[in-house]
Amino acid sequence: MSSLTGSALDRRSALKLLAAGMAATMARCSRPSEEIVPYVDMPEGLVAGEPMRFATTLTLGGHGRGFVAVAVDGRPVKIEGNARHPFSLGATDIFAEAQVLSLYDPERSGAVAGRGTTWHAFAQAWTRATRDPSGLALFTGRVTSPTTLVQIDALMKRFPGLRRYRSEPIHDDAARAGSRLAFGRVVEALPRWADADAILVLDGDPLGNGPDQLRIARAYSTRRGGKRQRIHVAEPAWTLTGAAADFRIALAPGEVREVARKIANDLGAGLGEPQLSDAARKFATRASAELRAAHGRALVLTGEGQGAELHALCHWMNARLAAPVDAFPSQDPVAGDHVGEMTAFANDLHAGRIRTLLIADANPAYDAPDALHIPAGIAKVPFSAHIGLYVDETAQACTWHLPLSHALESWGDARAPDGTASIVQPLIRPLHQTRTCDEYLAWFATGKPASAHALTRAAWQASDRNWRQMLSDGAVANTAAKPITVSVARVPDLPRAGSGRGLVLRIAPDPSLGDGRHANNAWLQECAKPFTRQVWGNAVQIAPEDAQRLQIADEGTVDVTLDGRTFAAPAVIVPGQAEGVIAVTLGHGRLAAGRIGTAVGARVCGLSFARTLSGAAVAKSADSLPFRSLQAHTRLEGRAEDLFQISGAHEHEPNEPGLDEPPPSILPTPQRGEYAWAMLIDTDACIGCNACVVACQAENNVPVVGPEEVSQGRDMHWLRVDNYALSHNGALRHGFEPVPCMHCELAPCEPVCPVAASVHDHEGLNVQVYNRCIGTRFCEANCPYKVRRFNWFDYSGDQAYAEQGPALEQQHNPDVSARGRGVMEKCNYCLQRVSRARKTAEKESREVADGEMVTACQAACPTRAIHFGNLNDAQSDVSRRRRAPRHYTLLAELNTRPRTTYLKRVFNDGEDT
Amino acid sequence: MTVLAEFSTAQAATDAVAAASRAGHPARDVLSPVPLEGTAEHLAPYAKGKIGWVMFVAGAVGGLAGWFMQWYSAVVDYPIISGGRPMNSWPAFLLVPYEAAILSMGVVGLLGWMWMCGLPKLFHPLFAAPIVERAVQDKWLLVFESADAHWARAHLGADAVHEVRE
Amino acid sequence: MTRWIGEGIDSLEEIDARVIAPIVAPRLTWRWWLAFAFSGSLTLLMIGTVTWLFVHGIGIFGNNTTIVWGFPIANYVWWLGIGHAGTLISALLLVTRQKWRGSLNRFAETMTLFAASMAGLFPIFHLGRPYYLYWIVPYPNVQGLWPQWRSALVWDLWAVGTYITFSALFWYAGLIPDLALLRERAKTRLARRIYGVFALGWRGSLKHWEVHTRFYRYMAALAVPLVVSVHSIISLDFAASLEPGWSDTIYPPYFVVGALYSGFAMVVVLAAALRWACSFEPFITVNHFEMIGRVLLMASIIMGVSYASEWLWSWYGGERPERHLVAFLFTGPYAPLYYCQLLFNVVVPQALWFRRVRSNIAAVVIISIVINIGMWLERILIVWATLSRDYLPSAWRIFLPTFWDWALLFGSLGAFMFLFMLFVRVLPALPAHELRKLWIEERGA
Repeated sequence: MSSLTGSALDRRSALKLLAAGMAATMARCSRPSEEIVPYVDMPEGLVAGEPMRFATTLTLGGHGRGFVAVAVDGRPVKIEGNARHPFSLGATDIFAEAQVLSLYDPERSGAVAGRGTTWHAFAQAWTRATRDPSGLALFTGRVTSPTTLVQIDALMKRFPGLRRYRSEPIHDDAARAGSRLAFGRVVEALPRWADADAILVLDGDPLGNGPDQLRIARAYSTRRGGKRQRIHVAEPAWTLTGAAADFRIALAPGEVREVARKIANDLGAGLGEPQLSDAARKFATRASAELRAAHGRALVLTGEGQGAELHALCHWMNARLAAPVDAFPSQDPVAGDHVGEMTAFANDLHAGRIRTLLIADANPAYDAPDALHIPAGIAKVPFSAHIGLYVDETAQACTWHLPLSHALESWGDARAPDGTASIVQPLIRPLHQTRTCDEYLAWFATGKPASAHALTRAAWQASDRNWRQMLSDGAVANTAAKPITVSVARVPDLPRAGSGRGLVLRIAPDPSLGDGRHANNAWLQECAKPFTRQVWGNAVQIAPEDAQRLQIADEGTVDVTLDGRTFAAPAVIVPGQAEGVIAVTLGHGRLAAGRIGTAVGARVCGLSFARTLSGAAVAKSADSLPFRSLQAHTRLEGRAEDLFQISGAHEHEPNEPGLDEPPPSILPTPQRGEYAWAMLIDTDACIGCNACVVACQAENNVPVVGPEEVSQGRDMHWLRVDNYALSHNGALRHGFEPVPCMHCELAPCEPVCPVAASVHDHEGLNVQVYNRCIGTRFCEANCPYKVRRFNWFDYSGDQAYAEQGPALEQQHNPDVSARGRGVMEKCNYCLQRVSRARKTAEKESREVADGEMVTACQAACPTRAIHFGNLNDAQSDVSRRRRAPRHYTLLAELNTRPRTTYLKRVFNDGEDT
Repeated sequence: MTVLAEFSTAQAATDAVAAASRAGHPARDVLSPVPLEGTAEHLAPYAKGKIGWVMFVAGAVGGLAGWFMQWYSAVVDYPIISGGRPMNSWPAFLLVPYEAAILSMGVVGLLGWMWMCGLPKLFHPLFAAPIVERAVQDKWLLVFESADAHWARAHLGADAVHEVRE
Repeated sequence: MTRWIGEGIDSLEEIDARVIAPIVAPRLTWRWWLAFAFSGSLTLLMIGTVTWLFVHGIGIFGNNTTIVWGFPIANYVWWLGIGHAGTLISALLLVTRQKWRGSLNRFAETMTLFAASMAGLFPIFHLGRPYYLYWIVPYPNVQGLWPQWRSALVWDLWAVGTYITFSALFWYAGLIPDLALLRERAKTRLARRIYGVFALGWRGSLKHWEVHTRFYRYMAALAVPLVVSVHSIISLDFAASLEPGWSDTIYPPYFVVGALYSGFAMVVVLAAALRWACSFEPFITVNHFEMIGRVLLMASIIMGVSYASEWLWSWYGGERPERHLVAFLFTGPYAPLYYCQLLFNVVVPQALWFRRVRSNIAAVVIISIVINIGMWLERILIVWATLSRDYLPSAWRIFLPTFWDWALLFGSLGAFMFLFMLFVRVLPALPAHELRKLWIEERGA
């Protein structure tokens, strides 16, 4: 056990290990031995230095989503979307983008550990332990993989008494229970968002992170032009959906149910008189009228923060409205609810019913509420083995740990929420002595080693030709389930809110870390949460009224007490949060995540499984915990007309000529080369998901700086998503404004550089010549947009955070140089991609076509909010959009003539539309 | 043979120089611990250094060279696009020539002064006279050629007269 | 008529003896050693800080993504401002035939040299890659690259480089007759030789004096526009940008007056120290302090008007970022510093309206120290405030200085003091030949 719980390595030994690990990884940096099939659009054959693209699958909470992984010389360096997969649609999210960093995490476990350090020792122990197979148990998260399910079935056949538990930390128990309540069975209800004209979201976050985010976000953006949707959101704390709404009201969870009651009554539910404030009644009345007016194209959604009854009522309302919702059979074959399964697991542990325990790719010791005492329970089990990517909390409680292969090193498969299956294809042989879950389970079942490749092929029984097609497409054709017909038997009853005792505590998945399993991923830790822009930690979000009443200072530390349990975290005052509600996020306070993720933020999953808890108390803490944020000021200070512009719903039509004329200047008009690259960001489409930020980080070798440097006010993101709170039509709104380099034609940064390190190229890019830079920082001082980033230390090398520099070099995009200490850097419109596109076109003696050159942020964006192209072509996508009335330039009065411009945010909140 | 007529005050020395000049026996030089303005006119004729002109020419050359360097490098040798400014951004190019001109004038001025004075000259025959060390402290020494030595001895009323072999 | 040389000086010999006394017969009291040890240790602190800086990187300072400039830039401007007074006193007062310059010019010029050298170091320390500083210099290189002449930093290099070189020449030209004095009077044979070499063989020839006087006047005439141009160019580091609060046409004159102001204040401090430590009472008289007090008073009024005009124009101009910046100065987290700046630079010096204050050396010295602190605050706030609150609210941040920021600032003060103490021991702190001339003129001898 000591090898698992041992203290942190000292620096010297860590460096030694890193060096050894590097040498080992270099040596093993090779393609898998089995045939892997490139993504369909790629020419065959590996060319040195040329990126190869392979379709593969990454899971989020067990659900599979197809992506394209890019490998250069056998090293995966980037994740891109797979347009052929219905749950990617060519886009990515932060978790997918960050996987490529996790792959190279030097702290990922690479060897058997526990009561021995060899596979042989473990095998012997396993054989001894299973001589008496009674008391054998398997614990997993959500499993949708057909191959894994085959292995589990085989294991259950081999050991008929096997107890199986399945519990996922970000669970859908309320939705499952609501579905049972409404339909009598568990179904996966997936909205056809694009088909809805009026949408009401009652305390849910369909646009937030999750397996369905990319699909819904794309549908959302397709409805931003033409006849626009009207989105109504009632929620206790800000979500991405709330920020996207045309009408939003902040209500405590109980009040949200009263809104639902009112609207359901309008639809004929007869649930009794709703108790509504004036504002809530106004909101509900309007939403109700619009939903009913849009019969057949109206949609009501809720989320895990609400109970089964509201979920059921939403199903009922959707049925009454003939809403565009498809019901699919659940892809999760386990019948039990997640909370119930975890509780049963804990009970069985403590009752001694489990003698031999396998935990596959799950971390119940961290995820479960403290009241279940999971680590103590596991410690009672004589033989327990944890299969995982890290020696995490659960691994420390177990007697054995088996290293798991990363998805990018694995063969396997997974299903999307609608059943679409896709193959997990490795891009690289395992970097360490790891195996996939399927390989372990197959061994447990048969006692014989099997390759994951063989297991996956066996599960699919596909011909070679079909197999290759599956691999190259990235989604297995015709595996999506057929929607099933379900009917709502009766109007479910809706409970009234309980008596107001204390504050309501809302626990939500973290926007950057999710459930915290990737807490050791520095990109995610340093990815700013959309509203607070907080990094490296979580915070207690509190409404201004409550903060004033409880005398809690912004960014001051508070103790939150609930049912005798207390945690401390910095408080952050969030205008627009419902009074009487405090909100925190999961995924933090890991006890054994690794050097990066351990002890960052507060662990709140120990409180309860529930997402809404009442009776919480908040008080000023004696502790002082840092609140680290990348943006100290979110209020627009009355400058909305300059910085984040808002337009009426009627102004969306493009193509009015003559609107793209710059103001006059005493300087000569800049000459344009063959191409005049420009970027245009549609703030109306942007939902603030941060996928572009992490994509940029991966593409451009952007280092992280670590929590101490963030506290100093430093960060390195080339692209940031500014968040502004502003008042519009009397309501508080949030606007997301992604800010990359503006590539000004009259760039203020260039004439001030004494050594011409900041110069313009002939295609209009403002480029930074790193080798020439001496680090005067005049360019950043004179940049009104503050988009330049300075290497105060050698963030990419010797002074990298957590000494990860050498390890991260493996991930580096070889087309982009790593920047050394004392050098300025910034967004360069993915110059390497521009160059590649130009060369490709030149080889074929043609011009770069419109849409051919795609920046990393643009590729990642699920809402296609980012457009890029050539201004010399008057008909290019970018040129046309720049002529739209919604077009605006950030700080236009400075006449820097940016090539990056914006489209205004539209709130479709006029009464007339 | 050179004669040094010693005086203890500036006024006496100035008067003596004027008197010598009037008498047709002008002093060749005066060694003085302070500058005596207007007194040099009464010395025996010598070539006055045109330090002002030297400095002016140096400044003109330095300034023009500074301008040309910028123009050549920014317009001809390695033009780059910088903030949309014209290659020949002449207003921005005015400052370096200004500084270059002043720098040239200062450096050439000092060198010119040294050259005109024949300095550095760490040894000079007059240093052979011990009294010369007082000339940088508190004594004034009028230097007369041997032809005027007799007159100087007789008529100047110096505190003392010293002879030096040059 | 005011006499600038006090009673008690009865002969030229006495002037010389007193001027060179710190060199040939120094009073090395324990106080002197204490001050020497103090400044020496601060110098070591500076050397240590710079070593740590070069080893560890520029990140040891408190700068952040938004406020990319910090202490080094403020220190640079501040030191260079101090470095302007020497040349101004020497040159401007020479050109305007002010007799009271005589006692002050040598050590003021020396102060200029040391302060400008300190100033010149800071932009180097501030660089991300200081070892490539020479890339700002035009020199033939294989890449065929040139400096980017539109950058105010290139202008800075030329301005400061010219200024230091020119000041050194001017200083040396005035020093030559005194080096000749030391050639005769130094204690040891070696010292006499060394002084002799630097005296170039000066023997007081009237022909040399004649060219020297003209040359010196021309240099003075050049020094005045040079000084004005140097701090004007420094101000362009800010004024040539488009940041709110920086992009102001008032900046060049405002910087020049600020430079004169802090420089004269530093002269007061050094003059008082020299007067006390080297028994220069006859040469540095109360009248001198009285006169400088008038200059300081005038400058403080101009500074006040400059501040007020910033407020006026940001209000009248109507641009929100500019207005917000002024409001931020008065109400933001730096507000206490800003109030101190106004108090120290504008309010406190008004005491100099009173002759009794101006004639009280201790009072003038205290006011001068206060002014120097106030001017440093002004410099740091110029850097901080604009960068903390420029156009995009999302980028707004606050600067938190680190230990190393302070270490380098105080280290440079110590090094300056250390150098100055060395100077007093090896070179005449007062210009003996000018004092002789002044004495002759005043006593009619």
